[in-house]
Amino acid sequence: MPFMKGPAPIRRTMEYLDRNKLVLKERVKIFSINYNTKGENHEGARQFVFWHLPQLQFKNPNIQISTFKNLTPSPFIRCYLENGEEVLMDVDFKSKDEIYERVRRIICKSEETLKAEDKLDNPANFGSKCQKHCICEVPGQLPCPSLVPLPKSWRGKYKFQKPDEL
Amino acid sequence: MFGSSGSRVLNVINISYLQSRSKRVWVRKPLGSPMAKSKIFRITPKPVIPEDEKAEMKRLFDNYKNSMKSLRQYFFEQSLKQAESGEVAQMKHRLEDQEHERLMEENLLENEKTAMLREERLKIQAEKTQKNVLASLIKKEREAKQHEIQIEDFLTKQMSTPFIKPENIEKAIEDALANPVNFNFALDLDGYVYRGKETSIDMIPEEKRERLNSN
Repeated sequence: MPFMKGPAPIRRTMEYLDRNKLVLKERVKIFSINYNTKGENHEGARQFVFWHLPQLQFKNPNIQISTFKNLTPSPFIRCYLENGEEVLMDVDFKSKDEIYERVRRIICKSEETLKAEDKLDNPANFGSKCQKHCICEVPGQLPCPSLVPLPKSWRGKYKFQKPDEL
Repeated sequence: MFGSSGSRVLNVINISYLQSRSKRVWVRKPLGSPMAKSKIFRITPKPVIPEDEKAEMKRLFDNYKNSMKSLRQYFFEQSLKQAESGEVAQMKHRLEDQEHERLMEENLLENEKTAMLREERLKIQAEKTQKNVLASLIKKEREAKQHEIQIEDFLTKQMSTPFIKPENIEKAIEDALANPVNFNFALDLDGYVYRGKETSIDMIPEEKRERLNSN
C-alpha cells in the first residue's frame, strides 16, 4: 500500500485527530488565528496551525475556525464567545507547545468536565456510544420488554386508557 | 432436522423465567433452514389500496407525525429550561462564570508579559538598526572624502602639465615656428636614437648615440 500523500499525513489519521484534549467550551463560537508566513516570532503560531488546527476542528465540528495570514506584525489568537465577548491571546514568540497549553487552559473544557461528560467511561450511561445499549442487558434488571412483555398495570397505554371515554 | 431451539419460555408477568417440563414448544422456524416445498412458489397477494385512500391516509399520518414531533421537541426544550432554572444548575453556572473570569484575568496577565518581552526585543532591534545606519553613513562620508582627494590629485597633476593659455599663445606659436620638430629619426631596439634622413649608422661613434625619449 503506498504512502499517504502530503507533508506529515499523520495529521489526517483518525488516531491522531482523536487523541487530543482540545474540546473548546460551549460558549466559544468562533476561533480565529492571525499569523505571518515569514518571521521568527510567528514560528510557534505556524507550527500550532500545522499540527493542532485539524485536531481542534475535529473535536469541535460546530465552531468556525479561520486563519488570517500576513496581516499584522505579531501573531495572536482571538476567540469570539456567545455573549459577544472576545478572548485575545498574544502569541508573539511562543512555541507551539506553549500555545497549545495556553489554549487548553483558558478556553477548553477541563479534564474533569470531559470525564464527567464522557459517555463511554461511565457505566450509568446507555446508548449507542456507551458500554451497554440498554439497561435490560444488565443482569439483575428487567428483561427486555420485546422478549418478556411487561404486566399490563405497568404499561402506560393500559393505565391511562379510559375505555368508557373512547 | 432443526434441533431443539433453546429456552422454553412462557409469557411471564414477573422477572424470573419459568421452565416448562412438558412438550417442546415451537416458537419459530430455525433461521438457516430452507423454505418448505409447499411454500417455495407461493406469491403473497399484495394488498391493493386505491390512490385517494392512500393519499388520505398519508395526509392523516403526516399531520399526526408533525404534531407529535413538535410536541416532543417542545417538551424537550421545556425540560432543558427547567434543568437550567434549578438551583443546582444555577450554582453550576455561577461557578463556571467565576472560573471563566479568573481565566480571562490570567490571560490578560500573560498578554501583558508577552507585550513587555516584545517591547524589549523591539528596542534591541531598533538600537541595532540605528547603529547600522550610522555606520553606513560614516562609511559613505569617508568614501566621499577619499573620492574628493583623488579628484584633487588628478586635477593638480593635470594643471602641472604645460597648458597653452590665451596669454601664452603668441609665444607658443613663435617657439613652435622657431623650433620645428623633425620626425625623421629611427629607434634602435636598445633605445638609441638616430636622427636625420641621410645619417647612416656606422658613421656615428658610440658616445653620441643614446638619447632620452621625451614624454
